[in-house]
Formats: sequence, C-alpha cells, structure tokens
Amino acid sequence: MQAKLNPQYVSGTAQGKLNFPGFQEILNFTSVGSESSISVTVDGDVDKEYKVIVRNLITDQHIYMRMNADAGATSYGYQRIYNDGGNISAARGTLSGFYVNPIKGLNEYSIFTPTGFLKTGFMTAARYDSGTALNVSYIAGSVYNSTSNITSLGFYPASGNFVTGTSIIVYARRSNL
Amino acid sequence: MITGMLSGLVNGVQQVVFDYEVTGSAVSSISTGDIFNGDVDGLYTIITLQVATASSSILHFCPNGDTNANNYGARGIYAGDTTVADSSYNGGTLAGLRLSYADANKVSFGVTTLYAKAGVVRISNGYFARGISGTTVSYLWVTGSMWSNTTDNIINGTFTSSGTNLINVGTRIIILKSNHFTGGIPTGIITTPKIAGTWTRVGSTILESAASSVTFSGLDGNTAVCYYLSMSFKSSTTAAPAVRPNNSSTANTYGHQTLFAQNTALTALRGGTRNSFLIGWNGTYSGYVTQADLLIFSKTGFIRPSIYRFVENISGTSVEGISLCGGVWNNTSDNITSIVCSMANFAAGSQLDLYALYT
Repeated sequence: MQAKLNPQYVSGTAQGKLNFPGFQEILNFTSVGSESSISVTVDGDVDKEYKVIVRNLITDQHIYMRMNADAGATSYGYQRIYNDGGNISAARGTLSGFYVNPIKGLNEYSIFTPTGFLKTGFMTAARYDSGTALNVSYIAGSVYNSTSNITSLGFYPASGNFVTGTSIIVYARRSNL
Repeated sequence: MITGMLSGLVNGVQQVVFDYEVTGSAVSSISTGDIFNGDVDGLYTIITLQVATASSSILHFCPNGDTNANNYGARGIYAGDTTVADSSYNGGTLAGLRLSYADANKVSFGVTTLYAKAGVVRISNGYFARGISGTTVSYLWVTGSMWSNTTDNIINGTFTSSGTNLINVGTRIIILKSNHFTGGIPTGIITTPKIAGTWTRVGSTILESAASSVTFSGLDGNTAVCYYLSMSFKSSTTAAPAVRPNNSSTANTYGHQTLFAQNTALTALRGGTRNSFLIGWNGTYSGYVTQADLLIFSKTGFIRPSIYRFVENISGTSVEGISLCGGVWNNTSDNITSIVCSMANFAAGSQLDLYALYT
C-alpha cells in the first residue's frame, strides 16, 4: 500500500506534512553536475536532531557541510579515528565545515542541535580507492562552535561543482503529537 | 489523544521491509526475495543479530545474490581487548558485504548502512560487536565494505556465511529501506503516533532544570525488538551517564569492548564488571557538551547486545574524545519495560530521546 502523502521538504518548499514522532526526510538531492552548493532550510531549535547521508562522487574533492552558511576557517572542530590504507591513527583539529569524504565516499552524520548548546555530530564514513579496495574507514566526532539556532544545512564542494550522481539525504527529527 | 498505527509504506521515512529470524535449525543462507529497487530506494539499513554454529563465521550480504569474492572489498578497524588493528581485504576473500563475524553459539550484533544506487561501486558502512557471551564482548568492529558492480539495479539480496549451516537459530536480520515514491502531487496532513516498521519516538525529555535521572517507562522490549536512545547533555559535575534497562544495577552484569581516541592517542579496552552501560562523559566545566547514542536489541531469549557511541566533552571547537563501544546486558529473560538514564547532574537543556523499532 502506498499512502497518499509526502513529507519531503526541498529547500524549504513544503509538499504535504506528516505529523509523526520520528525521523522524516527533508532533503533528497541528486546532483546533475551543475550545482556548486545545496542547502535545506531547517529550524534546529525545533528539530533538535538530523541524520545526514552523503554519497560524494567527486574524485578529488571533499564536501563541507555547514550550518547557517558559516564558512569560518576555524568554526568547526573534529576528533577522528581513521584507517587509511591499513594505517590507523587518531587526530583532532579544526575545519571550515563538517567533513564529507570524497571518492565515492559514503558518509553518515548524526547531528544534534539542542537549543543553547553547541551543535555536534558523529560521523561514519568509508572511501573508495579502485578495484575492490576501500582505502579509508573513518569515524569522527564534530562540533560547530555556535549555540545559535540552526536555520540551514548547506553542502559545499571544496571547489567547483558536485559531480553528477552525488546524493545527499537529510532526515529531521519531527514533532511530537 | 491520538492512538493507532498507520500501516503501509510512507514516503520520507525509513521502514522495515524484511524481518527474518532463524528458527528450527541452522541454515546456510537467507534470501530476501525481490523486495528492493535500489536505484529508487537508495538507502538501506541492516540490523543483524548473528548467532553462529562455528567460530569465525562471517555474515555477508550479497546484492542480487552475487557471491563472487572477487567483487568485494572491505576496510575496517577492530578492537579486541587492548589491541587496535586493521581489518581489511581487497578482492578474493569476502564473498559479500561484511556485516559481522560471530563465534560458536555466541552473539554478534551490528548495524550497517548501504547506499544502493547504481552508477558507481556500492559502499556500506557498519559497526558490529562480536563474540558476546556472558559479560564478555570479545571484539568491536568498524567496517566499510564495497561491491564493485556499478551497473546492476539491486532487486534482492542473499545473506550468506562462510560455510554450510553456519547461520544458527536465533539469528535475526531486519532491513529498513528509504521510501521514495513518485507520481501525483503530494498534499495534506496526516497525524499518527506510530507507523508500522519505523523508528518511533516513544519518549522525549528536554530538561527545564537539572536532574539526576530520566526514566523512559511503559516499554515492551519484546514488541519493539530494538530501542535507540539518543542524548545531548551537559553536566555541572564530572559525570558519566549510566543507562540501565529496567534500572537493573547489579554489578558484573554489563560488559563492553571500547575503542576510544583522545587527540592522537588511540585506546581499546574490555570489561565485564560494570553495573550499567556507561555512555559518554562530561568534564567539570558546565559548558561542555557530550553527544551519545545507544542501539540495543531488546527481545528476550538472548543476552541483550548493544552498540553505543559518544563524542564527549566538547567545548568551542575542541572535541576531546570519541568512543565506539560494543556492549551487553547479561540478562536473557527479563522483558525490558523501562530504560533509566542516571547521572549526578544532567544540566538544564539536556535532551534525551528514546525510539522503538516496531516490526
């Protein structure tokens, strides 16, 4: 059975509404190769939590996920555990966004945006090399150094456009009844 | 008060499309039938409780039944006691996407996400806790896997293991798919407290003032099958939240295998003497934030395995630590009717949500 409703919101355009205490898709984007960014309007103080899945097909460029379009060079921090070609390491640092791996990488973030709190995320990722080799397996914790309400989640290739087929899905925690 | 459950597939949510438990006798493989349309669905989440009849049994997922090991690769990190090591294979070894390993009559528990659209190699990410017995969690894995096929739409799948009849009684596999229907102009509003086969929030607390515990009651672990707890919290004191099914605080009934990083230091540790799941840690500065979540298999009949993770003691742009843990509550019989989260101080604004998966 297919229910006759669609709770998707794309760039803030409502297409019906489902009141349901769970996670609902608010962005389902597949690039045609001409976009240099994509964002979705949100209300972080209301939603509180997001699930983000990105398959990034850009070969040599990562993507930054940014909140409120803040591209400050040191607005975001991370702590990661990283297996790169069999070499396992850990590191801490700052970036201008939540990091999204390149090279057909599959990236998943759980993001919290509680009112008055710093905005945080937990990321899991794998990155493709060639043949049957994955060169990277990766988990990371991230923070956006702001307690302001989040009104947008944006995705920005480090340079140039998305590659055709790059996919971004965002689920938002939605209302109680 | 609105009651009832909306059934049928609903756009914009992830929903269970496959739920299989091995009963009677062990099997060599499990087929899903033609339930997928990977190019449309895109995203799948696979939750696995694996019980094996022999040691080092791998549970694979083979899209479209492809068991050719030359088409799969994996990279991962495993933690076993104090050891952290690489666990990676290029083609020729793994006969499917790696979901978990299990050992004879021990439990493994994991969750895997697969992005299925064709056009490029298909990649999955996952975690699993392996070799769970009593309060011992032998190993913890982080794993990415890939299927080199770039063209074929995924329409079905087969779960296999590394030998004959290795998938033992009690193994349970649940698949959620992302629903994307096309056609028509969607309008209108539907309000429902529950949608069959989805993660449904069954409890939510945002503290208006500090508290030392939050209780989610009225649960039925046998009906829900799995619970997912998510938290973002601060604390005015140095503290770690203790999470307890049924508020059970008996010593030596909780075990864990932990992988932890703090700056460049990487640590693994195992333990079996706790009286709770310890999920996260917050330092002495009240402005610090910790994010944590826990997935637990709640059905009776098995010890209750879990995967939990946290990003802790966050201040400014400094993330002090990250942890991934496989955990177990060594109780096979008590139905989970509540989950209690306790800490010396959950500061005002802390948010705790509990979701149930109704299959």
